[in-house]
Amino acid sequence: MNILEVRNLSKHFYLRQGLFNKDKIIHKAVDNVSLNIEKNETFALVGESGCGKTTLARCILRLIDVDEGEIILDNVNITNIKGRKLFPFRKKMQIIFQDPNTSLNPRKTIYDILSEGILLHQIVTKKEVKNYIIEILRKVGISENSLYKFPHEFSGGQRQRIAIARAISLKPELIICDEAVSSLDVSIQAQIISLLMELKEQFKLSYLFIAHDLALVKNISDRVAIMFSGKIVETGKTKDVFSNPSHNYTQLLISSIPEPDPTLRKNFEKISNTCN
Amino acid sequence: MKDYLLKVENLTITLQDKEKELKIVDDISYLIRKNETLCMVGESGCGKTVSALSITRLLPSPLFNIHGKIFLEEKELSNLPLNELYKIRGKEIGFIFQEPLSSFNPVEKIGDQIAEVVKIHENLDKKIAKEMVYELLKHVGFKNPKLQYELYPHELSGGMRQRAMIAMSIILKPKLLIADEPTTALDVTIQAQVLNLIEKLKEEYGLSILFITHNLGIVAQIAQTVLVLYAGQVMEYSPVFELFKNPLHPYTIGLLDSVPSITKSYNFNKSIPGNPPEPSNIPSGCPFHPRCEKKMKICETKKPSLTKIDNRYVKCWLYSEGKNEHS
Repeated sequence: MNILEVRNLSKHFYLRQGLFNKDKIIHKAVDNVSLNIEKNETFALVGESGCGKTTLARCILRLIDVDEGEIILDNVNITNIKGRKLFPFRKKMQIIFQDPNTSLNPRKTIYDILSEGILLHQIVTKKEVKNYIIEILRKVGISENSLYKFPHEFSGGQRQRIAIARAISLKPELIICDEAVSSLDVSIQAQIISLLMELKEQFKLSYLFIAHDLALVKNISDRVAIMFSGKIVETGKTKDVFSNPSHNYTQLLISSIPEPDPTLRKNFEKISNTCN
Repeated sequence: MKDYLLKVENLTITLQDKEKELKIVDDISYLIRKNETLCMVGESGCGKTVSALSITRLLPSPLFNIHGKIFLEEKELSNLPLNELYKIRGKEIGFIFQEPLSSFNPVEKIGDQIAEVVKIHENLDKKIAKEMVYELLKHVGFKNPKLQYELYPHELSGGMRQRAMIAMSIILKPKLLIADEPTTALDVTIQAQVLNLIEKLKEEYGLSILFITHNLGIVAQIAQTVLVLYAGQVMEYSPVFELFKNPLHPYTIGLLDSVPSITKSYNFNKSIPGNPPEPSNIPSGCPFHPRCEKKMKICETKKPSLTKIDNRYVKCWLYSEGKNEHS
């Protein structure tokens, strides 16, 4: 059963250059991408910066319009649904952004941040909101005394926990984690991953996990897609892709990972020659 | 002839905050031998960058107070007058910063910025300096140095900017290169290229490197010696092979367990609980005790001292001799 299916999706941006901006250059940020995510699966999307990972995520969430292709969420084609009609589908998919410093409104308390979505989507009645928020916060490991604190009073890891709480409070089915752990220290990163995996089992969530850390992806995802300049160059079961990478770019990526083991020192000379 | 290049003894750095004095770096000592790479690791806010900047006194002085001794070979940097220090910065000690876009001057050509180092220190003619820069740019991987000399920092990609930064730091063949997270902002494939370049230059010029990073993968790949910092204190100081094979300090063990790897299985549930402490609120005794699973009673009250075990040092009551006397 697929929770999400993306068929031949493309998103182009137009850059204008030259005298009086006469020349039009097409930048294919996402170019004919197809993928599907099954229920209760962690699907990882890996690629270097600027390869179109985030643009793809924003297309799937319908935050930006797509140029070509279809997005099918839970057997409903949402590609051309607009405005108010899109509202019930917004609840089904949520996003956790990379940088919790900028994704949480600095002038709102944690209660305000969380209650906004809950009330708008009528997850619980107005009377129950406070208790519901406390329950959600407890699930992500934030104590209830923090309810009326502001985001700046928390550390980076805790802020990311609040962002996760905001995402799960709407009872979504699909969560897009856009580099959700990249800016955190390794010990905090492991804590957040552990939390995400626990919530996945508890709420039967599906994740689209966008990352550039291949070692992390290998350990937590069921399937993986490698993206390179707007195209998906390789996709498959994580195990298979890592044990037998078929595309040159995948091989290059895997060989570039610095292994945390000094007995396995790499010949970076060889790697950097293949880069050029 | 001394066997070390840089020696840091009992370095303590405090930050003046309103009424309180905050300890950012607390009594750290280490030395870097010739042609050695020392990696400084730790989570953000543990004092890595501050301790590196203090070597050439790059911290604003009334705000930060630096105590302790720093030697570069025979010269004691810590009590050198500022005008003497200017001659060392950039000439004997080169710096590579994390974010090359914000460390270059955005309105000056990168070639001119690199040439400036030569002009200031060597008092050379403009033309000769330019020739030197061309040659060096070619050496660090610029295909067309004459053309690329004229570019501005924003016209280069992240990897190329970092290469230009490396060129700037090594143009006068320094003895020590301090690299502060030089690859953190780069993609893995570009990171591999930059690491390769640093390794290559190290061999060619006989550089010693102080490499600051939080990526233990990089540490395993390039270090000879590792200094593990936590809350401004040295937790473990050890040769790299021993550290990864048999980490002693519970913090090092936890840190190594938290790193995902493609060859070993990753157990994210075993990670260190809690958050690193703020400098204003460092726990008493061993700073790591609130997060430590092997915590004993003595850890809460008394700070352990650095204990020598074979050729490595560790700061933990598990290995301290005085453990039995006090408990």
